[in-house]
Amino acid sequence: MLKIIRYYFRGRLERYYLKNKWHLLLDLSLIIIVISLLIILVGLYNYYPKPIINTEPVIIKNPLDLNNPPLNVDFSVVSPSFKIGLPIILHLKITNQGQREIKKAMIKIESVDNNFLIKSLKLIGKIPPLTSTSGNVLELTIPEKTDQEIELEVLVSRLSEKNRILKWQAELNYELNDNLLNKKINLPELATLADLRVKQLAYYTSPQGDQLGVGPLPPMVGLTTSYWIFWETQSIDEWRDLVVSARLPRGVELGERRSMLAGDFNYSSSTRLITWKVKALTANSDSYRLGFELKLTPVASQIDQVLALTENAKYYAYDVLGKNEVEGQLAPVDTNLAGDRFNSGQGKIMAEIIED
Amino acid sequence: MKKIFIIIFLAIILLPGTSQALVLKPTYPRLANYFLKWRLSDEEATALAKWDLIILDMENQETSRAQILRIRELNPNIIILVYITSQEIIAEPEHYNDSYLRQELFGNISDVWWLRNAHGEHVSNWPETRMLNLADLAPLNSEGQSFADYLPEFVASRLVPSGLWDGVFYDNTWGEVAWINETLDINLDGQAENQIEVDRAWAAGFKKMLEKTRTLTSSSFMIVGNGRIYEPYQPLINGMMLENFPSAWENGGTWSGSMATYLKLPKLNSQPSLPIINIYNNNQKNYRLMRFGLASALMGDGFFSYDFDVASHGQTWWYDEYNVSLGAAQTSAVNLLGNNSWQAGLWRRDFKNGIALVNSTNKSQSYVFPREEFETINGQQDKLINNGRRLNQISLAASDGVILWKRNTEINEQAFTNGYFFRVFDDRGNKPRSGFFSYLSSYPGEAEVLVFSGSDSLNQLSLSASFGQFTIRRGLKVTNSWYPFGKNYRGTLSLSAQINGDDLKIALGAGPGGGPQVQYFNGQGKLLSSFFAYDKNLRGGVNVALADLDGDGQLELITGPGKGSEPLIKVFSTDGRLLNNFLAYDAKFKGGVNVAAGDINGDGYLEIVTAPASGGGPQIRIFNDSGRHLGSFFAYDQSFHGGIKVVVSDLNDDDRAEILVGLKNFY
Repeated sequence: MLKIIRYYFRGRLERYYLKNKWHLLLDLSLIIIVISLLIILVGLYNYYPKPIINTEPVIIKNPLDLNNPPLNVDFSVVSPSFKIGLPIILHLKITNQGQREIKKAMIKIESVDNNFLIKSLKLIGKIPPLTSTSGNVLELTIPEKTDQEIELEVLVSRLSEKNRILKWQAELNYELNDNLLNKKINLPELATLADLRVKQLAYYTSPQGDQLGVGPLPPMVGLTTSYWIFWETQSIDEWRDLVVSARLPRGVELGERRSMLAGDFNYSSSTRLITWKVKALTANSDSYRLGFELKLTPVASQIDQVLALTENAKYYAYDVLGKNEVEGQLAPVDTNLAGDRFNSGQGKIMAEIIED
Repeated sequence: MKKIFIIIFLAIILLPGTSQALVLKPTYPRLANYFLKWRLSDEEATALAKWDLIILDMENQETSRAQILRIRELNPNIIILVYITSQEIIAEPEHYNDSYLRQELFGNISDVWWLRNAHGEHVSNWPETRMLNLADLAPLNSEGQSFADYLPEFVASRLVPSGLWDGVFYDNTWGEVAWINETLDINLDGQAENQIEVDRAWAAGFKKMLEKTRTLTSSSFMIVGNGRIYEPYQPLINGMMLENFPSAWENGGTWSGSMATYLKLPKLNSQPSLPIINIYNNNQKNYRLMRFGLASALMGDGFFSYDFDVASHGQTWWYDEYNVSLGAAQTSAVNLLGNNSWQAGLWRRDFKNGIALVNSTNKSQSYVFPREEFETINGQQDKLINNGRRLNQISLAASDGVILWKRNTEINEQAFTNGYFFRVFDDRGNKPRSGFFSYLSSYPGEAEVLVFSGSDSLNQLSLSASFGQFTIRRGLKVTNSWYPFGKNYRGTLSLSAQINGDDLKIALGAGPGGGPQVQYFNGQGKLLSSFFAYDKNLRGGVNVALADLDGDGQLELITGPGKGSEPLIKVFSTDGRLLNNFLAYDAKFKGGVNVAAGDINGDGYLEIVTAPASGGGPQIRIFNDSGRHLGSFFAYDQSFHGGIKVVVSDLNDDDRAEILVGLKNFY
């Protein structure tokens, strides 16, 4: 055997090692690697590690079923949508089925993404003892075998205009029998109510000082004064089927002039109803504006009165993303022209001046 | 004498200025200036060129020929009458500076032509003058001529041949003379004649003088008189001046009497008729009196002049009302108080662009316009009246008048953004008219709309561009429509077009989101050229204006960049060859520039007007065709950075385009 090995190495010595020392170096390295692997194999074969987990039996004073923890919280909301700036009313029904009181349970309400921020929680209605809020965390203590109902006002701010769906969760943390229990509960997704601002303004002189109206100010009996009414809407959201309407009071007639950037204008002389319809409103556009001229000719019985220029001005629109219909009343406008910084307060009808 | 007739004959035959029919301008007010200085300064000549009719003393023919020619150069349509007294002359003309023609005239006056009384004394009607005898009984000189013969010959031989005059203004065109002196001896027999006989003979002689003037001049040579109106003269002449209106000597001395005369003259006179109302007052700022006279003149078709005094007609007073171009008359005058027989009342006459009102009663009058709105002139003088206010009722003081604009809420011939509010400016940033919403309900809001005037509504040509689509209409009918930048582009478009007869040319540019590509079409929709005005990778669009900037009969394309590029205005030929470029604003401003072009200062050349399309203050800038900055002003509050549109259009019909600056929403 040794002869064979010796013969073998002599052969390699003559053919390789004497010609180039790198062959010798390579063979020695391979031999060292093989020997090292054999040593590791033997070592592992004889390795008996100590257990990491204590497998010794633990005596549980009050057994806790982790698959069925004693504290249960149900969340519900009144509306599937909410308006930014107004709180969400969140109902909590908390049940402690266990045999022990749960102290200082913490419920943290948070958004699951970066589109919204839960700013604050506020307890409303009947507040159970030892219940409080701080920031977006509710802290409460629940006696054993009891139910509690809590009502919270949750104030949310919107960080992104692109996403209007609030995805949020409640993280429940409490300690029981020296165990820390943690549970995350997804809350019902809510859509923000689209932000729709619809304004009604009346001018005799534009905010820049251009005369729009014609005729006496204050208005005079028997003489015609014309005003311009503007309906404007702006939103950071998409809408459709906007309808703004108002009725003309007695003594007020629609003038010939108007200006409209979008939509359709209609006036029914029989119902005296002005209607402005816009089929679709894109977000962040300033192109939704209607202006029209109204002519008022007061009569003697209206002397000293401030007269409405439109009646029952209201709007309706459909929130495309929120799938929500909204409607509301527009601020009334009258001859006092509250929004006209040049002529406000000149609304009381005067008797006609009779010249000699 | 033969020489004189030969000169007169040649003058009639050869002088083109006296053989062409004179056509009055069809628009009002018609302004006259009774300017009797004997020498004109260059400044006075320049100022006088603004009037429609001027009456210049004959001495200017010798002293101020260059100035008169300058007036004609500045105002080729002006009517210039030469002033000469018909019946008197200064007694010692050699003592007066610049008295050339008077000395000549005086030197040829025979001693038997002077008007004398029964004592053989000269008769005078005006200080330092002597009257001449025009009666048909007047003695003749050694050549068998009377002064009534000589005066027309002097006009025809000495004044007409100068080529400076459109007519003659005979002062004191009286039909009677006996009121001057009770003992006139018109035949120089040493006896005073009967006054009735004096007046008869005077009128007959004067009429012969006028007839001879007409005979010796052409029918297009105007003859205008002055003084109390004498009807038998009127068919021979082209009008009369009613000096010191309403004068005490005219038709009862009332406004009603003078107006009846003033309105009657065109029916009596040779055509064209040039009746003139003149009021003088030593207070240049008696605006009410000026308005009263002007508005009275506007009740008829005559001219109006206002100056200092009967002894000093020689002012170039200019009033806010003179700047108004009322356009052609549309109605006769009517009395809003009900009586239409030229009684004192509140009289109204309608013109294309406005109305004139005159209160000739002795108390203030109020009137409500039931279904109309007007606006007062936005003037610089009497701001109590001319304050630019819109109104539907008016109170007018006794013996006052006013000119009111009709409300104009339409922009013609130039593209505008439908539904925008437009302020109206002149080239100095003044606001001659009140702002308005320009909106046509037959087009979508925010569409670019261009309506060509001149046709009836059924055939009116209009263009519109919205949602990426360009449309041509005749009346309500769509005659052509296409998507110039493909159907995928549904954004706004910039539109400009020009029409010459039936030759319609259209320039279109894409709005924000599109490339800076300009497309140039004919009216049939054929693409004539297409090019990128700026880096084709930009997506701010391009704003276009089409105009013949250099007056060579070829249109040029002016472009302003869209948002995201420096404010470089470029001028291209219609085939896309760059002719010129310049920065309209600071190079750092990258909000885009809207452009328009038009003659905003009345100099006959088009200017380029720019406005920031977004961001930046609302500063309008004006450039000539080579990019030289001519002026700028802020159209809205300087703090406003919302972007503005600009349109250049002649709203006032006065051959000076206004700058209309559009705002999308009030801020």
